[in-house]
Amino acid sequence: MEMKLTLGPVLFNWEPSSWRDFYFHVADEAPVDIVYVGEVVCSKRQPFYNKVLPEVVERLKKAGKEVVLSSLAMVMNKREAKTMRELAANEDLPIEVNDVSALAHIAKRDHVIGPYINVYNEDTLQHLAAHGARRVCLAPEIHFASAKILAEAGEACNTNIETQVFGRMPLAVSARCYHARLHKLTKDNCQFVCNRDPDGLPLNTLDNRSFLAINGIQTMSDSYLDLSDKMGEMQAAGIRHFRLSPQDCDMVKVACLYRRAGKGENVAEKLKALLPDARFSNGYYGGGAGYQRLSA
Amino acid sequence: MAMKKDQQRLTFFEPVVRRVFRTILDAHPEITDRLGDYAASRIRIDVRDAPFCMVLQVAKREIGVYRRGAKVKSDAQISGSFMTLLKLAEGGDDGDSLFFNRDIEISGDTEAVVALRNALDDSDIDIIRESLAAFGVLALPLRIGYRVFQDMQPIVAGMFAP
Amino acid sequence: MTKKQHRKTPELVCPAGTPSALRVAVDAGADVVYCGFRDETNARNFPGLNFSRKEMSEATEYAHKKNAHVYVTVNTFPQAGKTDLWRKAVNDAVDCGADALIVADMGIAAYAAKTHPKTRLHLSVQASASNPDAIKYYCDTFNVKRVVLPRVLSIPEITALNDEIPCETEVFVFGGLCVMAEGRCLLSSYATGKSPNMNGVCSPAGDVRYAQGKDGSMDSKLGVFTINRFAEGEPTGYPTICKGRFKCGGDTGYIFEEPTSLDAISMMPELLQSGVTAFKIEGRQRGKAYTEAVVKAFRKALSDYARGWPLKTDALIALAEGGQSTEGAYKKTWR
Repeated sequence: MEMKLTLGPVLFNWEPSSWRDFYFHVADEAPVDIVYVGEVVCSKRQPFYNKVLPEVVERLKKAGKEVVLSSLAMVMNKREAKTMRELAANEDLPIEVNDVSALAHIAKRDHVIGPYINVYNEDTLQHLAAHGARRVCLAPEIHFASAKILAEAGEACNTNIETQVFGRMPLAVSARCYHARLHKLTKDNCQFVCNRDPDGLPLNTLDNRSFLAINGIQTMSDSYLDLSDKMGEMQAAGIRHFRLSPQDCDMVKVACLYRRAGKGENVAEKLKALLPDARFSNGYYGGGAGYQRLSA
Repeated sequence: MAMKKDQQRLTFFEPVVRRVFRTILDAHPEITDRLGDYAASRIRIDVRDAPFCMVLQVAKREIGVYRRGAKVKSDAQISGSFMTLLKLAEGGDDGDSLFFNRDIEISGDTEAVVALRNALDDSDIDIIRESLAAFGVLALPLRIGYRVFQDMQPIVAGMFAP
Repeated sequence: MTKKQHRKTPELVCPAGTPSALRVAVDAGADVVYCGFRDETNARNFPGLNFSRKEMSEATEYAHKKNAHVYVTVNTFPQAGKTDLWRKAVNDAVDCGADALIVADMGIAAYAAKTHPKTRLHLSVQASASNPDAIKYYCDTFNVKRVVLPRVLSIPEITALNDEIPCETEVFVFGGLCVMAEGRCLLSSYATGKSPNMNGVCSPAGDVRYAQGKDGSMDSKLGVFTINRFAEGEPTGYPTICKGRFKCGGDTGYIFEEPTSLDAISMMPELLQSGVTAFKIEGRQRGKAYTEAVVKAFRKALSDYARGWPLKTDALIALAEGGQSTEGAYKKTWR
């Protein structure tokens, strides 16, 4: 199978119009094969995107992209549970399952398991495959050594392994909204302050070392994951789906670079030139701490 | 100015403390067992209200007694008052709570300290009773002596306070 | 759905990191003690902690003699290629006489359900099942009998949940409080390479260093990251990232949460009404002095409540992280 580039769901609170334009741009120009759309982080953001979602899906499909509907990572109230049930019951588009609640309603329809579901081993992979998981995007902390074993196991049960190769890594979700807390607002009356930080809000240590980024109820890495130089090794191990997680930058250019990286080109310098302020990391890949940047 | 190592060592007390230490380790083989690889760590115990410190190494069944503030090589350090450390060793107080309340201080290899704390907490040792037992016929006078020390402890602590 | 029969007095489920702590917990009035094997199969894989196979057998024997139960935690996520270690933990726990297994991973749940269908299966908080549909999925698929609820739900949400699900619920009432959804937090491995999910450790002691300043202050460092600085005499907490001080958006301080422990004694009446089956005390990493104090306090609180006496709500503050406690998500304002 050919390598597939995927574009993960936008995790930040972007203005609905820029969100729509972003996907139009992707549809028209980005060399990606699969596009995930839909809100993962906060159900309060969902109504704004739902208005423009149909035209976005339409445009992406017309451009020949495979579209997957992403779902919420945390389902805590009745409204969220209902949204999840409706999403899981839809027969038009496959969904990315980010909370186990969706599995109760998926009825063995083909679906994707997102990085918020814990799939660390072959047993879990086989269990999910038997219930219709055709692709599993691994959590960022899973090392290459484990991903390789999972890819082998996946071949036997008709499930592909997807790994994130670009962008801030999702590290945690919480019942608490850190953007609201920082602005001394309650979660119920948050005034959507997370929209002020379209790339996440950096969090530093007391001695000014960059560390994390907050995004509503989500905590992310400050560093951008970059596994562009590992894509050859991963393809050889049977991992052929590579996820670019959208950041507030020219994602079309990013996608072009990773397309070339997938063919063996070293794009590190070009990536650095494109994103001069970003700090890149790849520590998890070799079994180390996630923040580390280790040279091959 | 740093003193020479042999000058820092309290050679008079050391044999007594070593005997107690080994008696306890012999009576509680589970301590060494639980420590696993950490038995090799050199852990310094600083008794805040006494004029001495100790460096112990379970695997070698070795314990050294030094003057307070002596420069001795160790992997991890723990400090607290005599009674706090005694209660901690006997499982009479929870180590995490003592740490949260700043009653004990930890530095160096945190893992070694955590391992020792957990091993001791499981062992149900009674340091005073077992120390006295280590000295056979001397047990009774020593027990009386300890009682007096306990009563005097606040005064003694005051005398050695910095 | 028919309403489940709720116990009048909830089961008190208490932690034990060592055989000695288990005996103390049972003697202090625990209905159940939960513990794990001495390896990465459980979520408190700390140096010097946990049970050998022999210790686990002796422990269950001790507990059973005194009419207490033992739940064995096999609640981390097996790493690929290493599932045998976890399967063995499941088998050994059953052989040792465990009254229930607490699991988080779907693969291990499937294995336990298939291999030991007679052994009760409980879903660990690490599985982060926070809503009726997710819980029902685990019940229907693996015959899970009880779910340990994530520390993210308010009491009205717990009450509503109990009406909708076919299994028992267990809620935390005291101890460490994860600020992030359990089982879905990679902060520890981002800084150290080791995580609760993969290794059963959060902020592993081997990566923690405390640096004492000349002014009496203390820095707490996790790997290369300074995660807190305490002034002289200021109460401290665990060196976890979620309870560290950071700079963010022009603010400096506790961006996620302060060092604090959960203490739900004051919420006990509402929790009892919510239909939960069991109260759980966190703290397998704590000393037996903690175990004894907390178990006794909750035993007393339950009996005081039964008699209609007022509840003593600040009895355990000396054991709390940062010297302060919170009702956590049980009060909706926490969010």
